Amino acid sequence: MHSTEQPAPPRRWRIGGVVAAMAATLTLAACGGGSDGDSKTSTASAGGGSTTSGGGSGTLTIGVSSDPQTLDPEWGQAHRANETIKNLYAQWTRYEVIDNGDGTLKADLTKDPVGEAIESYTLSDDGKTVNIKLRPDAKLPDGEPITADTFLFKVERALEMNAGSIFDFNILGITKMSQVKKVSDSEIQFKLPNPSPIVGPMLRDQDAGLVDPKLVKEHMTDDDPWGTEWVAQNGAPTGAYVIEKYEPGRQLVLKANPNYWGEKPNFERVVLQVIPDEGQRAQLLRQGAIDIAADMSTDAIARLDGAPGVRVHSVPAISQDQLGLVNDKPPFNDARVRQAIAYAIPYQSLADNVLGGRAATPKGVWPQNSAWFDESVEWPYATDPEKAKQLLAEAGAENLEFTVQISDADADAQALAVPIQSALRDIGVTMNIEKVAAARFSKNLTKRSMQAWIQSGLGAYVDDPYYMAFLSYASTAVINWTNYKNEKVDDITEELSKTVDRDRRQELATELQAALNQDVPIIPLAEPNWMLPTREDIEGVLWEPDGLLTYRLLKRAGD
Amino acid sequence: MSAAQTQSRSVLAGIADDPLLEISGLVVETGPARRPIELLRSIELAIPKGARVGVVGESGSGKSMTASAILGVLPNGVRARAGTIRFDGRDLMTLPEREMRRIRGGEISLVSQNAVASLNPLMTVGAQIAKVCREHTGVSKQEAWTRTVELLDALGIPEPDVRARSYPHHFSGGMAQRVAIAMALICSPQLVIADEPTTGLDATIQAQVLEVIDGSVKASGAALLLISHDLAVIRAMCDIVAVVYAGSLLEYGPADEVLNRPLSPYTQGLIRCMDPPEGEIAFIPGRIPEPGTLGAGCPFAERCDRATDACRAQQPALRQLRPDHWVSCHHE
Amino acid sequence: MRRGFWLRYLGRRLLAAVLALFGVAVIVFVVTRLLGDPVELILGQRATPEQAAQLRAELGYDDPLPQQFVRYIGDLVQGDLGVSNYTQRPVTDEIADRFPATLELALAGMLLGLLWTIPLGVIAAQRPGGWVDRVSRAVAEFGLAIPNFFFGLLLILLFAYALGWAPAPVGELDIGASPPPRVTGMVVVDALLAGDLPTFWSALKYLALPAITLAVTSCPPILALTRTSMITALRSDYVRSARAFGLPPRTVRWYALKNSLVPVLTMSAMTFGFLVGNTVLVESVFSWPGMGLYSVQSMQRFDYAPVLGVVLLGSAIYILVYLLADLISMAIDPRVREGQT
Repeated sequence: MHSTEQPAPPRRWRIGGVVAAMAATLTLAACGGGSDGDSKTSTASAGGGSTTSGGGSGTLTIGVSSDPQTLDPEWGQAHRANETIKNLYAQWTRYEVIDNGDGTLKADLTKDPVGEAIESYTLSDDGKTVNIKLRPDAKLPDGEPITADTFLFKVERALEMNAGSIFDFNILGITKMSQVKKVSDSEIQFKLPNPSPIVGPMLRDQDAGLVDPKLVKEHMTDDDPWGTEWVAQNGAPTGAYVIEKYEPGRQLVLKANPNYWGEKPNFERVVLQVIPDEGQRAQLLRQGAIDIAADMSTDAIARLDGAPGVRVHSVPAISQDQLGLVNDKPPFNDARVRQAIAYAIPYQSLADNVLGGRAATPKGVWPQNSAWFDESVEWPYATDPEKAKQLLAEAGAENLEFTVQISDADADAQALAVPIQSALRDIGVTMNIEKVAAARFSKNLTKRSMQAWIQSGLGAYVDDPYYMAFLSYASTAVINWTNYKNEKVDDITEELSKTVDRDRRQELATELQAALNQDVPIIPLAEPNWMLPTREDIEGVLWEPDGLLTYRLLKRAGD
Repeated sequence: MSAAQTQSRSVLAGIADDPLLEISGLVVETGPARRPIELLRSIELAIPKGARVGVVGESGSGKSMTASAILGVLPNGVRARAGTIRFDGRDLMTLPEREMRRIRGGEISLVSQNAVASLNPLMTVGAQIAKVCREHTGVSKQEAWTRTVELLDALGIPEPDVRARSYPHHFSGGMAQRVAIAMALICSPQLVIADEPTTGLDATIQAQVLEVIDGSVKASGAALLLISHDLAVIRAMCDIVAVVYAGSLLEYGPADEVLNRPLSPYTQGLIRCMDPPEGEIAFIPGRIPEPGTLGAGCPFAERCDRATDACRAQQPALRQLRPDHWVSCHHE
Repeated sequence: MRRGFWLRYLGRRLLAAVLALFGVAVIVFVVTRLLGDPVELILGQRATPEQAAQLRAELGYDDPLPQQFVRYIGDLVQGDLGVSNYTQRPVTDEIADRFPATLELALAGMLLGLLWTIPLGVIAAQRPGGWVDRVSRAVAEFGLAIPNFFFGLLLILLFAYALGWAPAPVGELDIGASPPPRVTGMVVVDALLAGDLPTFWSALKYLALPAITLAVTSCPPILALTRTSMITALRSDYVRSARAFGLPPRTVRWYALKNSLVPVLTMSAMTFGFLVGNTVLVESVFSWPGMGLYSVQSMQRFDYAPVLGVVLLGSAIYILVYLLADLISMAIDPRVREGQT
């Protein structure tokens, strides 16, 4: 899981896996029409505000584009479901939070995550054993304590259901319950086949969140051994919020979990009101009928900018809009052709004009806001049409013509494609734009059947070089949609998977970035901010790499 | 004829001292009031009590419009501008709608051309007849039904109590016409207007229907106004014949007189067409003029082989050239 | 003929309906199988081939097609529409959540639509070319020409935001409000059943604008047809004859109206079917929690079970509404009735 997305049109994909077997792990989430694609509108996340009528500062009302796809953390795929799950289920760990001082907060990615539902986790010297100490004070919503069994039940459910959440454990090398041991009521232990550098980040994934074992067990049947059907609709929460009522298609009302052990949420209730039409969400936000307009496109957010009473939170994020070029077939199997295209892109204009200035120009294939980004690595591709033409001539690629596919759900990608097309025409390259249905786009990505694609808002749920390389750039990576293959990159990936030492990992990450900038398997077009339009009195907006809002921290100014 | 109009008594008044129905100077028009199109330009008609008057003319001559005018059911956009229609001592043209409604179906009734179409397809025929009966007589439902069935029986409809429960489309043309006649007679009217009652029926059925009309009207004592383009039908049924052409009355008189010794060239032509000399197909050349295209002259002038400048200049007044026999023609 | 006739007729129609639904099911089965299985879409972009194979086997897409078809029809016969691959919830549950809202909106829109189109058509027919006729035709042409969601937006801007007469378009009830105890799933009806008048009024206010939107944009053909059939009826021999027999104007108009109703009924049935199937954008604009978005999203996701459920439900509604219209036509018109024997 994990994508990030900025608010704009982010959609995320995830692995949905039912059987997610191992697959994937990956990181980059894409935004473009993911499989789960959240319907056509894009979806971003959003967050909170106040309420309309009841007026009390005790209620936050968020206008969302659709219901959560499911309330079962094992099955979440779409952005809306992921955000709901993040707020309903207690995560094992969390990033520490930095206050930006302007009403917004930021995850501190420079440090490993700390305990949330657990007290702490420590890796053995060989990196293959993870010792997890549990919190003595953690409780389920009914007041019963959260114990080692609660955690084991979660892992077993994820592994047995073979659903999306299995990914969180598989990427750590956990595939069997025998690797998960209850040491005592307050301590458990993981046995990993290899040292893993990303235990902390993976355990903070919302899919890995704890479910309430008692509730789930009450609804397990022969046909449905893990109570999926019931949990999908009713949830089995353990987090800061529990469900007050759920009327699919209408609203999901959350209320503060009375037995939550952590810092109490500022809002007693959170109403997720389904307002499918983006324009209506914007209008209702202007009117003050909702506190947060979630799932908004970049374009719609731009139009809200400056509206009285509205504040658009805009936070630099780990997210990219990308042009993917399939590397193993002509014409893009020649790196010079890819480089030529990279020289032709009008980066500044895309960031300023298409994305309204709420985006940075890229500084590498690696996202510049990643904690692992090394700015000393050269990124030569400033817009330079002459250089582009020269490279094309060297490669003998005159009269180049290719087709780029775009999901019809990805408004930003469509907006980006047009100026790119015109810039390429100036260097004698013809780029045809083909818009396809989101589901079809997703299928084409999986089958690698496209020549090129543009997706917006691709991001990593986990900011880690191994995660990113393993998912996107290794030759066997599952979302290596461009069929990029570089043995050096494969070697670096292999070493990253086992290297726990942070300094060494940074060296490897730098090498990786240099290789990617040289090869440009994909061309980063822009790095959009994560954005969230709220009423102006909403504070405590936290950005994390997953782009999912944390309701618990939101508050109304003055409260 | 202008004199007749001002007196509001028809020039035909002499035919009977106290006719049941007397139309005088009736003008019916349509179109905008400023440039009206006259559909009936000078209709005169008299129906003595108990008489059978036949109105004959080509289609478009205004026969049916006259019937509608009598009943006060002119189509939308068509209005009577001048003239009187005296019925049983009342001027129907000035009668309030409420009283007019009592006359329609009650005192004057109508048998129209297409009997099936003239019946509401969604109601059984018995219910429709009984409805008319109750509307005008106020009798109970059962009584109206009983009368209906009896009348259908009298009109020669087999199994009348069953057939009364059938819908119009179940009836053949001839049987439907009997139903229509029953509806026309159910309230014992003083005048029955039969508008082309046999047009479109097979010849044998025609004869039967005419016989039914003949017998039943005679039995009821009502007067009959029979409208037809078929001179043979008129000859068989009527005592008095009126010949209309392009909205004007051209000839009026006892059937014997008019059919055997016609005065109007038009009537003569009609008779020749009905009964052509051996080996000849007779027709009147030309076509009936469109409404609104007529000038001040005789309406038949265009098609008349005896037309003179005088004919074309002025419409001839109705003149009584023989006893009880009127004609509108400049010629003798 | 009476009872036996109606029973036989109903039996025949229901049998035909079942056959039609079966045909729809077959078509959906074939089409979805032609599109390929949804395994990759369920798994997402990161799926490995092994994962896909495993899931394909789990879901039975490996079985021979005839076997899949038998299983599919077998489930269908038991009323099992399957489980959404996307939400893992039974499709019947999901439809039950959403359909009443759409039905309520469609019924309200239809009712309002009939209330304005039929009387206006009847009045316009009294004087073709008169001012009522011209005004009503202008309104009808406007309703036909303007896209329904756009008209909805205009109503919202005017009545909700500018004038404040209607609530903001957040669905069926105030944000956070609790719906009445669920009986029919139609909030207005349920509020009435529960005797909860404040909720009833509130729900009516929310229902008003979307229902008006549908009534204005979907029903003009009914107006046009009512007018035409009424003009035809008023000019007919039986109406002339009814007047000539001195029947009161009320009775005469009723004769004409009843005769005009048969084609109007059929048109209304078509309109209703259209209305149920075309609320997507209106529902979206008014945040109405109905089937619209659900159907669209299911199709976008290639989520076959819901697509099948939606298509079958839509077909069933069409069939039922037509049956109803035919039954009423038969009750009204003996010729239609006899056409069925």
